[in-house]
Order: sequence, then structure tokens, then C-alpha cells
Amino acid sequence: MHKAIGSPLLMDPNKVCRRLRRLRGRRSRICRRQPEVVEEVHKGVAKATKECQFQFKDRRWNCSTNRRSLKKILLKDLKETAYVNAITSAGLVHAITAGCSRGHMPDCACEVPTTVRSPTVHPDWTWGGCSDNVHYGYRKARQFMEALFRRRADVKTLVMLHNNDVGRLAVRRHMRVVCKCHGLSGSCTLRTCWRKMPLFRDVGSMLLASYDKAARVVPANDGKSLLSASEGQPAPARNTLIFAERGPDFCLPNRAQGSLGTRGRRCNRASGNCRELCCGRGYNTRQMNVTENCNCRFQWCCEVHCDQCTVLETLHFCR
Amino acid sequence: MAGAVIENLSGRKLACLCSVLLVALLVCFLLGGLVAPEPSSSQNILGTICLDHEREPDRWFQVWSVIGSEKMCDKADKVDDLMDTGISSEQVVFAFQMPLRRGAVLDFTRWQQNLIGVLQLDIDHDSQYEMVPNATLALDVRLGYKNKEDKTEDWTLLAASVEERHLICDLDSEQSYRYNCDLIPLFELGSLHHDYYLLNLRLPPNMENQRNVGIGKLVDINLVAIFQNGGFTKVWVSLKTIFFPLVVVLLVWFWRRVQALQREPALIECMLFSLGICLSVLNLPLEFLTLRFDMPYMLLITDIRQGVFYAVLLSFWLVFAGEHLMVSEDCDRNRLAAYWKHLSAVACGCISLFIFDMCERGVQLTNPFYSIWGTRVGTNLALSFIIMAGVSASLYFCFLSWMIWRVFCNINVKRHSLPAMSSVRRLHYEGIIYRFKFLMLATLTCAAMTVIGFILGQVAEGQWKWDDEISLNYTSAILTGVYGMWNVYTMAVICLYAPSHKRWPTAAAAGGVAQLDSQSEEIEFSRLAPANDEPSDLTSLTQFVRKAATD
Repeated sequence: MHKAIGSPLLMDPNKVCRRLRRLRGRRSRICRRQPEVVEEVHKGVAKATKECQFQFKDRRWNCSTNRRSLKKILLKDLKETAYVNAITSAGLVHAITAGCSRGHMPDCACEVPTTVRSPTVHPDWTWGGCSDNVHYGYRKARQFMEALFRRRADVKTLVMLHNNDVGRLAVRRHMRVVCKCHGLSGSCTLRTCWRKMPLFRDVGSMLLASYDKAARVVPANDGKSLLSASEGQPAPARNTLIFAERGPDFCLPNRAQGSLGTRGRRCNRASGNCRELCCGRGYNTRQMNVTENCNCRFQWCCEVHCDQCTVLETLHFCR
Repeated sequence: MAGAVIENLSGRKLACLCSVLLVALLVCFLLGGLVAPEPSSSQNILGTICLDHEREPDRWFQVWSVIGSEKMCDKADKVDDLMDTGISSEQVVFAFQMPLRRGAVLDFTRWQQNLIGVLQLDIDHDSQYEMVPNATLALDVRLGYKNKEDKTEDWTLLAASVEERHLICDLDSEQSYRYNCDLIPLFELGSLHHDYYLLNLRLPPNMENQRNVGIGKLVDINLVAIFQNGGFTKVWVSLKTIFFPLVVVLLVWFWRRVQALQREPALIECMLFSLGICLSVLNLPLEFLTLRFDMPYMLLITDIRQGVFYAVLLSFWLVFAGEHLMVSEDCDRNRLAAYWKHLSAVACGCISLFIFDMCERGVQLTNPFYSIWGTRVGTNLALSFIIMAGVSASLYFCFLSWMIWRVFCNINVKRHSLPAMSSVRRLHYEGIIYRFKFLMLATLTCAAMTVIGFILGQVAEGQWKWDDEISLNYTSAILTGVYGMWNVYTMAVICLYAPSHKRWPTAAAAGGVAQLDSQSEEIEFSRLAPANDEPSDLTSLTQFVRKAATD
């Protein structure tokens, strides 16, 4: 069986570098020599998990980190697997780039981008300054996620590599350009622009849109590339998530498929997702006293004084 | 007296000269486009949250040790982690170290000339912690520096201040996750003299005057450090170093020619001379001195040099158009005083821009964190200066277009009388008009190219393609191209309007205008000459017009 070693990051983020003996190649090298990168990887995985759960909070599959469920899903090639892989990759790029911008890594600034080969991008810092830190984030995230899959060419690997790339590109391609004028007397005869990383929330939403439009693929005859499953469609683009297996509907618990079922999940009747979430089984309504913070007075950075309010709320739970 | 060179130059020579100058222009453009990098780069630095447990306002909090093994600050990952830990806002220090590190190889060089710091605040939107509209920040900032060869362990203070800035943020929608906040200009250093810089920033709240209160859930602060690229400085300075002696030599040649005349220099010649001097001052490669000395006033000096050059150029155009008005009764032109109305527009615009610049960059000499835009009064003051400059500029262009229009009208009127003249003379007069128009056209082309270049530059930057191959560096090309263009333009004007050395036998008395073969033509001129036999100090073109008027 194939070891899903490229992506169980989401499953146990604290074991990224455990079992060093079993890890070979670049990742082990990063683990041994660049503990700062590993630290950022932890942050990235945590960020990805949080975002995945936020984006899927109203769906049947809610990105639960329940080990049994996630393990099963990660061993397959479902749409959900695609999203998990993509958001994890995106989280790594985001976190490593941020760590680089903080100066927490000794060797990251002034990465020469691999994609730009033009004479005007001079590698010399004194001559022409530096490129964006996201190139470093992109490269490191790639090394970390794909170290073991370089020479494999089965469908699962190809799909995973593709989806990882979708995630990384979701960050790199959606950098926002911000400019500042500083010419004669501060006029715009001289202007410098730079790129700011997209909000991770936006990355999560973009990947969710991509998840909803994900394309099913089948291996091509040469075994090295993938074709769109529907006849006549071109091969999937670089920014669409792909999957190879149709997954369960996640309505009922199914251990073999990693489905936890939606029984007992809270749904929102006002937004009308109860029918969808409860798979038509209906829901129970309960009146509950919910205690929450209210009338908060917040003083940056770290002082919050809130009152505790108890509200009687009507909640709905799937049967 | 002798005429100007342009009137005596054959068409072929003029074409040769023009093509040489065009080639020079093209070289400037390509130098910027192919050799030089972008004019400036930036580094995006995310603030590291350091904790000041002991409340030491004079301590430096550094993110990593540059040289030696000084203490690094006690870091916190996120602002969220500090909730309910007893840490107060005064103890939170955002530390930014410039430049970002790559081993020990990255440090600022003096070729990078200047450093501008801009803040971007990341404020999360949370309905529990809403932002107050029109919140004001009080930034307690300290900027320090360090050099590679420094013996001392600690950072040296460069500037410290408490600065107020307005926080202007908006939300795309109520569900938005984060506010969109405007950039906050933080500091401008006119000289990048040291190797490493460290900025410590605190946001102590003050309930009394409502500073740093209601700023929402501030999670991160980005500092964007903008500096000129060393490569660009090198190309720019070499361009200046080449142009400087050329213009100076040309100026000496020009002035000796003018001095050789038996009359006082004409106004237009004086204007040309001062234009040349201003250009030489602009060309003077002062940047070399910054490699050795700390010159924080360089930004200001550069602004002033450019401003003076453009002011003289604008005045020159006015005088140039005025001196070619060809109205016979305007004998008392040729004095700067005759243009006081028009020139006051230029002066007014330039002085208001100068005051604005002094208020901003002048004050920054003592406090690099100062910004005139920081306070309401300052903003209004700055805006009024800029509006005044704008009004003066439009007034100036009205004056100038009106004058040029009058010149062209007069030329047309004179043209009608041309068919009555002998054919050789007519051809010659038409030639002069043509060349006058040619120069006007050149000026307009230069001005238009400058404007279009900058507009195109903005557009080209607006749609940046990052991953594509870019072979021409457009921004630098425009900058060096425009710089080269005004140099070439000024040199061409100085050349073409220098007094010609080709003299008539009767030159002392007659206004010999051109070198013509026809003996009859010469006689005709001689006969015409006594009609206005004053010790003329106008250029021959104006004289020609007067003659035409007597025709």
C-alpha cells in the first residue's frame, strides 16, 4: 500500500519530522538542518486546518481531523483529499513566506525565482534588489510536500502533485500589488510596487470554489499524464483541483470510507442548509441556554473585558 | 552681426545633427532599458512582536543578531497569544530589522542612496472589537543603525520620535475578514549611509487624547522598506558623468561665441546660458560624494536641482516664444522685465512647490519620521501649496499657448507677403520659418514624449506580469530616456541658437542673415539694412520679420 506520507501533515502536525529514518530526501534534510522552516510548517498546518474547518463548517464533510476518518480520506483520491492537499500546501507557502518576511529564517531573503529568467532580474542584491519572499515559500513548501514523490508516476501521486501545486499557486498568483509614489516632491514620477500576500481566508475561499468545480481525471495511456474524465474536455488547468475517485456522500457513518456521517451535527434552519446537511433525514430542535461574551470592551493589544450574557437559543441538530 | 547657427545650417547638416542627437537619445533609452535594473526595490518586513518585560524604553529589541552575539528579544508568535497574560500594550514592541537576512551577506550599500519606510497595518474585522472611525495612531518609534566594522555591540540611535498618523480603513463588506487600510508613510532617510537598520515601534494607548484607542484587532504590522537600486544609481550617475562635461564644454563654446560679438548678449542668449548652467548643476554627479559622506540632504538637493532646471526651462520657452512674436512695435522686449506677468506664474508655482518640499523633506532632515500629511493643518497646508502650484501651472500653459498661437498667426501673416519677394529671398525666409516651426515642434514632441512616457509607465506598472519574461525594463528606460532627452534638447538648442561665425563682409553694419550665393541678395540686404540701422541686439530672425514688415 502506498504510504500517504506527503500529506498526513494535517493529521498529526506535530509529527512532521518524526520517524526521521523513514523520511528520505529533502524533507529529512529540512528537518535536520532547518528547524526554523519546520516551525513555520507547524504554523502553516495549523492555519490550513483552521481554514479548512471554517470553509467546510456547513458541509456534510466538515474537514474533521478525526484520525480514522482523515486517514481513510487521505489514502484516496477524492475531491476532499484534493482540498486537504491544496490547503495544506497553501498554508505552508503562506506560513513560510510570512516567517521569511519576519526574518525568522537565516537563508530565505533574496531567493532567485526559478520561473523568471530574464536579464533584468539580476541576482545581485546591490545591483537590482531582491525578489519577493513568496518564491522561497513556494520552493520550500514544494520541497517539503513532494520530497518522496519525485520519481513516482502513479495516478495518486500525479493527482496529489497537481493539487499541491494548485494550493501553492492560489497563494502566489493572488498576491495583491500595492504601490507607493516617491518621485520629485513625493509625486508619482517614481513609483515602487510590491506584492502583499493574499489573506488566507481568501485563499481558502478560492480553493473552495475550485473544490466545487473540481474535475475528475483518468490516467492517460502513457501513464505519465492525466486526462479529463469527461470526453472532449481538455486536460485540467493548473488552477483546478482534480480527483480520481468518486467519494461517498458523507451522510452516514462508514468506517471503510472515512465518513463520519452528519448525525448530531448542528444545522442552520435560517440559511436553509438543514435539508442538505441532514441528507433529508430531518432534524431535532432544542431550546438551549447559550452563554456567550457580550458588550466587550477591547483595548489593544491584550485587554478584553466582556460581560457574560446567557441567551435562550433555538438550535437544530440532524437526526 | 552674425545670425544664429540654425539659420546658416544647411538642411543636410541639420539632418545629420538631428540624427546624431536622436541616436544619443536612443542610447540613453536603451541604457535604462537593457542595462539598468528597476529604479527602486522594496523589502516587505513583517514586524516581530517582542516583549518588553522590564519596561525599558531605551533598550533595542532585535530580531536576529547581525554581528557578535547580542541578545535577541523575547518573541511572541501572535498578538492573540498575549491575551490575558498580564502583558500591557506598552510592553509590546514591533521590531523590524532591515535588510532581511540571507546568511550574513545582505547589507545595505551606499549605492542604494535612500530608504523610505511605509507601514501597512493588518487589522482583523471582528464584530466584538469594532474599529472607531477616524482613529488616530501615536507611533512611538526608534530607528537605530549598525555597521559591519562597528566595535560596539549595540545599535546606535539615529532618530526617535512619537508621531501621529491617521488610520484610514474601510471594509469591503460586513462579512469581510480584514479591514483595508491605507498605507501609512513612516520615514524617509535621505542617505543610506549605514549597513543595518533596526526600527522599534510601540503603540502605547492614551485614553486622554484618544491615541491608539479603538484601532481594532491589530494583528500584524508590515514595514515596506523602499530603496533605490544600486545598479540604477550606477547607470544614472554614469549618465550624469558623461553629460556633465559635454554640456560644460558646449556652454563654454557658446559663451565665448556670445562674448565675441560686438553687442551685448541678447535676452534669449542669456536665457540659453542660464538653462545650460542649470542643466550642468543638475548633471553634476554629486552622488559620488554620498559614497564617502553622510548626506541626508541629498533628496532635498536633488529635488531643488530638478525644480530649478524645470523652472528655467519653462521660462526659456516663454521668452523664446516672446522673442519670436515678430511684432515691430514690441521693441522693448529683450528684457526679462517685459515678461514679469508670465514669469510670475512660473515663480509662484515653483516657490509653492519649494515651500512644500521644505516643509516635508526639509523638516525630515531633523526628524525623518516627520510628515506634513500627519496632521489636519499640515494636510491642508500641503494641499493648498499643491493647488497653488497647479493653478500656476495652468496659468503658465495658458500664457504659453497664447503666445505660441500669436507667433504662428504672425508667421502666417508674414507668409502672405512672401510671394511679392524675389524667389531666392522667399526660399530663404520660408526656410527660416520652417526651422523655427521645426524647433517648436521638437519642443512639443519632447514635452509630449515626457508626459506620454510617464503615463505609459504608470499603465505598464498597473498591469504587472510577474512570471513572464520581460526583456525591457520600461520604468528605468523612461527615466533615463527622459533625462537624456532634456539633456539632448538643451544641447541642441544651445548649439543651434549660438551666434553663427559665418560673417558677411559688411556684417558690422548690416544684419546679414544667411549665407547665400546670390550677390544681388547681398546687395538687397545691404540696402535694407539702414532701414533699421540701430545697434541691434536681437536675433536675426526678429530682424528678418522687421524687414519683412517694411517690404
